[in-house]
Formats: sequence, C-alpha cells, structure tokens
Amino acid sequence: MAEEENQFEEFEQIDFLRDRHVRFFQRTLQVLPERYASLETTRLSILFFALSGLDVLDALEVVDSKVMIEWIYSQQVLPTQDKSNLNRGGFRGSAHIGIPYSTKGPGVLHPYDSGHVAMTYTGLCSLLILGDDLSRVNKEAVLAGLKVLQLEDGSFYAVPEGSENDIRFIYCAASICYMLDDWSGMDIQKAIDYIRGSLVSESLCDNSVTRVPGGWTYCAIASLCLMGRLDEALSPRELNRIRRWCIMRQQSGFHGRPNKPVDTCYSFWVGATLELLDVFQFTHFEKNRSFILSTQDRLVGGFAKWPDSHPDPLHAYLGLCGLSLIGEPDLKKVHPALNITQRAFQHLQQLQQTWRDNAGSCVGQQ
Amino acid sequence: MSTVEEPSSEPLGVKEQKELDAEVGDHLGDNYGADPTRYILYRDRKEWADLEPVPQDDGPNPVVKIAYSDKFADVYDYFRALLKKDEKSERAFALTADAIDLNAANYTVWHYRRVLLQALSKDLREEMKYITNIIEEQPKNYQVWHHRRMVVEWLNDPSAELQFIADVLSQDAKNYHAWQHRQWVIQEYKLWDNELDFVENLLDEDVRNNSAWNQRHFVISHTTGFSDPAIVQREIHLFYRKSIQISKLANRFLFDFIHCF
Repeated sequence: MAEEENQFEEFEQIDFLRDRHVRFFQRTLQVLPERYASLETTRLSILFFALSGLDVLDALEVVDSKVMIEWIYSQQVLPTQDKSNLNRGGFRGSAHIGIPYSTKGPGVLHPYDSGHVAMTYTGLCSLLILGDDLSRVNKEAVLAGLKVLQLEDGSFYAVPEGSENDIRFIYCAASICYMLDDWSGMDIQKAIDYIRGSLVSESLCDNSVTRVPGGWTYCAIASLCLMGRLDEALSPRELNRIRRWCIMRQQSGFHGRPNKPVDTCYSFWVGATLELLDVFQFTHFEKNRSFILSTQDRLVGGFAKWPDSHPDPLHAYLGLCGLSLIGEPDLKKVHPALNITQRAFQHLQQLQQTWRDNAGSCVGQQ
Repeated sequence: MSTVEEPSSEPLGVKEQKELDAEVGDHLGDNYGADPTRYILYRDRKEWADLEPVPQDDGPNPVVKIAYSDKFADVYDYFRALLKKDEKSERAFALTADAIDLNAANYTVWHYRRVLLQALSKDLREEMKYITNIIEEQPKNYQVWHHRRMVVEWLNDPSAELQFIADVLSQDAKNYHAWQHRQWVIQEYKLWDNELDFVENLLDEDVRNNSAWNQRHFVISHTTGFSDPAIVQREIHLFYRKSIQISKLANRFLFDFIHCF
C-alpha cells in the first residue's frame, strides 16, 4: 500500500510541459530533415497531427491559418474542364507527383494524379480546425473519388490505382461522408458487413475481438458510430465482449494487442473506443496518465511511443488526445469518433446546419 | 566515408542522412553505375539529357516541408518527369529502384513500377527476388507487402510464400503485415494443410504469441469450424499443454480462445 502511495506521488511529479509541445508542433509545421522522407506522400496527415495537436493545446494562434488553408486546397485534385478525372477526386498528401501549385480550377490532367482517402479525411479535418467553411471543397469530385475505392467486400482502397485494403480506409471514408453530410460516397451496408467480419468470429459462439489490433478496433467502432449504426451492427453481447477486450488492453498505459508492449498512441485508439462504448470511466486514469507522460520528451516536446524513444508527430498528437480523454487540465476535449476537438466539431455542425438551410431554400434551383 | 557527396552546411540531421546514404550506396553496386563510389546525378547523365526534370511545387508557403538533399531531389525530379510523360522504358524502370531506395513508402513509385513490369514484360521471378530483399530490410512497410502480393498474383505462384513469411516471422513473430499476407495467401490458394502445425511450433517458442493463437482460430474457423466435439477436445488439450508453460494463467487470450467452447 505504501508502495502504491509512492507511485502515486511519482505520477504527481511528472509535469505536463505545454509550451514544449506547442513548439514541437510549430517545428513540425516548418521543416523536417530528410530522414522523414517516408512521410512525403502523407504530409497532409502530419499537418493534421500538428494542427489538431495545437487545437487540443488551445494554441492555434501560433498558426497562420490563411497560409495553411491555401496549402491544403492546393492538394485538392480539381476536376478538369471535361470532368474526365472526377473519379480520381479527393486530396493528395503532397505535391510529390509534380502537379503545379494551384488552388483554383480547372484541374490539370495527369496520368498518375489522384486523391488518397486518408489525405482527404485529414485534409477536411484540417480545414475545419482552421475555421474554413469547406466552400472550396469540390464535393462532387470528392464523393466520386471515394465511391470507386470501395471493394465488393466493403473495404476500401486508399487510391484508385489500388493499394492494400482494410478497415482504416473504411474509417476515413465514413469520416469524409460524415463531414460532408453525404453518404452517397459509400455503400454503408457493405462496409458494416466487412466491419462485422473483422470484429466478430464466425464460430459457434460470438467470440471476442481477437482478430484486429487496437487501432483497427477504433476504426471499426468509430466508423459504426459515425454511421449511426453501432447498436444495429453489433449485439449487446458482442459490444460487451469488445468493451471487455478493450479494457483488458490497459496495462499501465494501453497496448494494441495482448502481450505487446504499451504504446502511447493506444491511449487514444483504445481510450476513445472505450469512450464511444461508454466505459472509459472504468479505466485507471492515473496509470494511463503516468505512462503517457513517461514518453514525454522534456527537451524537444512531443511524445514518443515508448519512454526514452524519439517523439514523432503522430504520438505527440495522440498522446495529447489520450490525456484529453482523462481530463488533463487546459486541454480541449476531443470528439472521440471524428478525432478533432469538440470546438472544431461544433464548427462543423454549424456548417452542416447552414448547408441544410440553404438546400431547403434552394430546392427549386437544383 | 565515401566521397560521393560534397560537404555542405545543412543541419546535422540532413548530413547524417547523407552519410548513411553513402554507406548504403557502397553496398548497392548496380544502383550507382559501373563505379560504385562515384554517383552521377541524373541531370548530369547524357542519356537523360532529353528529359526536363520536374521539381516538386509546394507553392509560395510550403507546410511540413521535408528538406531533401540534392541527390534525393534529383532522383525524384526525374521520376516526376517520367510520370508526366507516362514513359514506358528500361531507364524508367531502373530509376524506380533508385526512387524506392530513397523512399520505399512512396506508393506512386511502386504503382509506376508495376505498370512498367507489365508494359516491359519484365521477369517477375527477378522481381520476387527484388521485393524479397526490400521486405527483409523494411518488413513493416505497407507498400512493399502490397507489391509482393501483386507479383504473387501475376505469377499465380504462392509456392515461396509460406517459407518467406515464416522467415520474416522468425525476426518478429508478431509482424502484423506478415500475418495479413499469410492469411491472404492461405485463403487465396487454399494452403491450409500444415498451418496448424506451423502455429503450434510458434507457440512452443512463445506461448504468449497472440498472433499465433489468432492464426489458429483463423484456420479452424475457415476449415473444420468448431462444431465437431473432436476438434473442441483437441483444442482444449492443446490449451492445457500450453498453459502449463506459464506460471500464472494470466494469458487473457488463452481464456478468450478457450471460452469459445
């Protein structure tokens, strides 16, 4: 018991170094060294981690929103004059393919240019975080580009030329449709069938979630929540099994699979899943906090996956989200399904209300 | 250290990366031309003089910009030039190897390489050797496993797969990419026969290998199912044999697995 009290004192002593994290994200937004080359095609998602991280820290004032918004829109695959590239719509991760910088149409036809579903998702989130009204998003192209990515089995490719297909991209697709308030971009039932197939065993009993690791479980549950189909897709018994499996992922922080080491990012992936399933309050907040803060880099800021490891933008962002879930003071609340702050989510809700009002008043003009 | 790169005043991180590139370059031979210690930029190669390089255009205010070395930018400027022309040539194919060497996560490069493999009717067996080497160096990269899957499909030959994946798993028994690929190969080509034995061997090495238990469940679900009492009994016996290897019955997964019965 005395040992436990000492450990609790240890928890108390770890400071949350807000300013270091702000500076970490500021540096991320500027220049990264060449050893980060593998992130080139996903730079828009790195931008999202930094922006959303600053939003959670309530520090967006350090960002030049206008500049960021222009850069994001320059990654949108714009339709050509004859709209022949409509089904390649969405947002790119960066200009690595060589399209000349442009934020206005018409688009340039290029044999290898297309959006990437995860970049479209993080691009839209980033625009919302920056307060943009999405008026320059070509919804027709985004949804057309999304539709061609879905396979017969309900899962999604990331890009129209093909890639691995799995539940991560279902989550991106569901988030895109949710944000644009338009589900014509995907076949929801097929997606639900794929999610069920991943989560639930087909054996005699409805066995627990054993097939997919923590991050993918989040994608599954968050997708169902965004679709509004959680209780329809999973029985109470299945949901309880998932709750139990997820709660068992907590060791100090959380890991993603049994007998794997804990990792900061799962404090969000598993934590947010538990929040969506209404049982996060039964987890051990102090142990979770202590682990996340043990991965905090006291010099350069940010968080790493493990203690004494290098911080990176993904773990820095998800570490903050993990802390936000347990109510760390001065951190903004995060919408657990969409993975943006509640503030950004409210901005989205206002936009969607405006769209609906406009649609109502423009019925005759369609 | 190789004399490949000229000294510069870049930040330390970039310089360290260049030294690493040079070290790697010394071991790659063919990728650097006849003399492996003298790398020639594409823009200085006569046989590329007809092509106008295409720089990456990040606009007036780039965000999350990556600071590339001259060599890196040069390879990719020519890659972009090839893409724009949609050139189908041996030189394009050779360049994709350089581009992959610098960034094996660039999915466009891999896609273009696959286009060229088909357009030029390249030897897919050679490609299997190539992708085998790459995966051994970078076993947790999504693009390389997807590329391998495509080549296996084109060859319609999974004969090397189970052994290859077993080799990768011997380095990291829980590599999720390897397990996903294994499940795909087994399901696609109906290679169920020896998988339970394979899993049991892995469990002998590490009874806590969740991926291995998961694989067992996958095989049984897709073959015999769990309705036959003989199957159930066999699995229960396996469970007890394995469970005496751990001091406390703390392995939650075993409980989940056995709870099925």
